Amino acid sequence: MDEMTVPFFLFYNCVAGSYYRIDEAIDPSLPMRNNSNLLQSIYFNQSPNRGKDIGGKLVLMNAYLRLGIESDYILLVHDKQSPYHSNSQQWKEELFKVAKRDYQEKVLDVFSNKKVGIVASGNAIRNELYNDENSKGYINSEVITKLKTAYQINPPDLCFVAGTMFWVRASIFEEFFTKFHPLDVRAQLEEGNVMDLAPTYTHAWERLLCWLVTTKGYQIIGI
Amino acid sequence: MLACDYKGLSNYRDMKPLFPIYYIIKPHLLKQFSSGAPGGILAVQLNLYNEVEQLQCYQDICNMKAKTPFCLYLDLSGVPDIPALHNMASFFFLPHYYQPGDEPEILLCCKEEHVEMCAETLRSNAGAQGFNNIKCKKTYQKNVYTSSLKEKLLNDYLAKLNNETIMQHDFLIEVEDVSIANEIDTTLEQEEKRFANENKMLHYVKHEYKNLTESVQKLERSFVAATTEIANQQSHIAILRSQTQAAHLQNYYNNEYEILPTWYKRFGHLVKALTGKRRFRSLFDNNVKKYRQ
Repeated sequence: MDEMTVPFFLFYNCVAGSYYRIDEAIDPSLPMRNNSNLLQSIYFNQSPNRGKDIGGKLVLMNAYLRLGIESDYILLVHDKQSPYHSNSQQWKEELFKVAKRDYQEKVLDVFSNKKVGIVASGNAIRNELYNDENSKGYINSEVITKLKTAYQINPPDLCFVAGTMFWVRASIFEEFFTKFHPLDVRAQLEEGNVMDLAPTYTHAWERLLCWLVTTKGYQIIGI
Repeated sequence: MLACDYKGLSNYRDMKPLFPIYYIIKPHLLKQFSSGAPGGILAVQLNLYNEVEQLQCYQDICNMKAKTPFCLYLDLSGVPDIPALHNMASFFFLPHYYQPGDEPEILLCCKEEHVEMCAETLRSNAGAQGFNNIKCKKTYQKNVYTSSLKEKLLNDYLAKLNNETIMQHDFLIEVEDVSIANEIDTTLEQEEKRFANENKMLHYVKHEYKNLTESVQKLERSFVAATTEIANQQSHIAILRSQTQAAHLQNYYNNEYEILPTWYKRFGHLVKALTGKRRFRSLFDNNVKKYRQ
């Protein structure tokens, strides 16, 4: 919160029933710990573990729309834990870079180009065509084909932000999730600790959240 | 003879009410309860089909200063449709939605023939959002107290307190104003305090039953969470041990470097030495450390 340099609303989701916060109430002093007057309000949600961070973000997207907040940009972040990656700490730092104070001015400057839809850490941008680990699971598998058809997503290329931490132009997500209810999307996602060993709906949406932006003709820019 | 130490309960103010009190309110009253419902649970009587009403209700609850436990009181004329179900589920994600035993609770008022189907639909939709179960409590208008039935409420409350076999009972009270809720709460608190003084043993037993029930639920949650976490950690270890990532790194190394011709690699070492990235002597002497870092 202390990194923010522009007025913001914080939407905060916790996983219910997580071993690490069993019966812990959400800290009520959290709003008071922000020293600047940039924090407009905090909205807490708590959800079962479904769809990992994507599921949590969809819960918050639903809350955002229901509260009628009007915003220019949405910054998606989560407490990136990748205990099965040998370089998880480094990866987390790379992803979080885009939320750091020092980078925000640059992010907003990039968005001054109206064609930009997403701004993310440069090292997080991948192209699914070159994803050797998944054997084309998210190019033409049944899962991804079905979702692209159902949600009318047809990106010009397969670039996406791995790790799902990025700034996005709010109007794009508002339009999409007004048409397609976030909880409908969330209902498809897998429960629990879903791993990316075979194509999953959760990891498909890691791509689709970016592809729905590029389908509309916007660009993904890395910094 | 029951041997127990109940002296610790002498300070009545530290204890929650023995029986859950549900204050049934219309959504427009939420702003009055902004500072919290006195010692009870707010049961918001919501029309899920009224988009404007339920959105306003959602916003009012999010903006309440005190995070009072609340639940939905649904008067359903039929099985709810998908948009209505999404409206309902949105409330479950609010941290102060009343969820005893991790199961969101709904008070249901509908025709007898619709109860089971409505409850099943609500459970199915909640399940799709990851909630293992929801508690649908069927309510009957005859069991709902209004502010004009205060005396009956008081008598019934006392009767339940004095009944040795009743450990749990819900009281549903329809209120039109926060001051009425406060008045009822004060009255019930006084009566319960009097009961605690006059029937120490029975009061203690009932409180202990309630506390132990909550402890058991908490331990069950901890057990499930710990079991899940152990399974997660085991799968993570299996992935790390499978060396999939090591294989990926090895393949990357092989493709980007190893397949290059030897003369090109040696030229690269020379460039490294000339640009200061590698010690020059290490090109000729294997006993010299190659890299400075």
